[in-house]
Amino acid sequence: MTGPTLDERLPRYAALVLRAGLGAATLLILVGLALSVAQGAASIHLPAARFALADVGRGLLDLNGPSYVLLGITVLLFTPLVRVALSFGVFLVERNPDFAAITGAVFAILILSVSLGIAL
Amino acid sequence: MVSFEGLLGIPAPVAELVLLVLVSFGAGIIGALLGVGGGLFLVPALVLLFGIDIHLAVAASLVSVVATTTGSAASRFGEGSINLRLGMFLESATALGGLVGAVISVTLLATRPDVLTFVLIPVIGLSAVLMAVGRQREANRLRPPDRLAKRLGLGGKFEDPVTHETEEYAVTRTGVGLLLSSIAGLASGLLGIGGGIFKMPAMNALMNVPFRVARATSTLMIGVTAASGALVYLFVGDVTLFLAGPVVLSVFAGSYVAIEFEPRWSVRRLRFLFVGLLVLAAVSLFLRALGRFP
Repeated sequence: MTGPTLDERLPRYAALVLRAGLGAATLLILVGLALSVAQGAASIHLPAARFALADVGRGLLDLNGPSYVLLGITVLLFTPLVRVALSFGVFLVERNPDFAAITGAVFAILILSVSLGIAL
Repeated sequence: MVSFEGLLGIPAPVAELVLLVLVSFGAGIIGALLGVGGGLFLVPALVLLFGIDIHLAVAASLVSVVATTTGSAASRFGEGSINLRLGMFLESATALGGLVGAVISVTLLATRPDVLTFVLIPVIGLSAVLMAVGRQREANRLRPPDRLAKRLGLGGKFEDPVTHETEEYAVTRTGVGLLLSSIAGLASGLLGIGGGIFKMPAMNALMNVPFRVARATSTLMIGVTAASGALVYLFVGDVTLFLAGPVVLSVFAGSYVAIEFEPRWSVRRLRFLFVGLLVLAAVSLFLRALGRFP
């Protein structure tokens, strides 16, 4: 025996990805909300902001609360995507064509969600 | 919609935020106790209590559904109750449904919140029925897998944490399961719910998956399902930061508390309270759509 295969270790890796993503996202949202309240912003009826990565980068440096919240939500929503990408990679390495195709398709759908969101 | 002006002398935005946190916390508790995301309760609450546009309520709810199910999926991996292969297979259908639902919402229905409300009402009603009559079935050990399930190796083994008996099961009716998963995904992207209330019985009663495995696997799938819809809303610009931010944290905190205290609460007795809440939500939404809600 040569220890567990990648396929067998996948649940542990997947759980690790989910925990890390969720932890980072929660922290960013918390910091962002605290900054926003301190800066006197924040009504739940403020209009939604269209996502722009360049603005977020500048906002983070300026300690702009909403930028942190936006980054946190983005990290959260990309966490399942990273989990799927990881599974796809594992099935490719293990040469499991059926599941490489299935996880590849799920990954493609998530990328399509991002692309359509930007395009619409 | 509740009026927040001069409530106990607290400024309206602050009072509103406090109530939002409490309501979301409650939705998180209920969602986790039932093994669903909590969106079923959250979307009507945001619309009815806070007068939020249903599109924005759906977007905020979907983001919070990703947070809670990601948290509980991570802990259920430890239990060994997730069937990862089955989950990933069905995800292909739920994710596609979630994407299509969100795209329909932001294009065809972008200016039709009334249509979305009238789709939401029967879905809440159906969920209340499933919740009221739902029961947990044992997997039939003798049932053979269907061809697709056999080829993909979807069946599994599960050790019951209470009896320590190992339950082996084969997966059947894979095609029907895939179809129902895509419908659950569509409802998720369109209405901001996780869809677990439909996926659990589909897997348990139709596909011969033990209840605990169905619940855990459904939780894992909802992360990807809700994300495929939520990513569309995020990049379109429907995720309101000061709504979604507090909602996500509070729902997540609620679900965490519920999972910690779950063994001490009698979910069976609480279930009828939840069914009542859903019926109340459906009726209120209907009256509001007719213009008769205060």
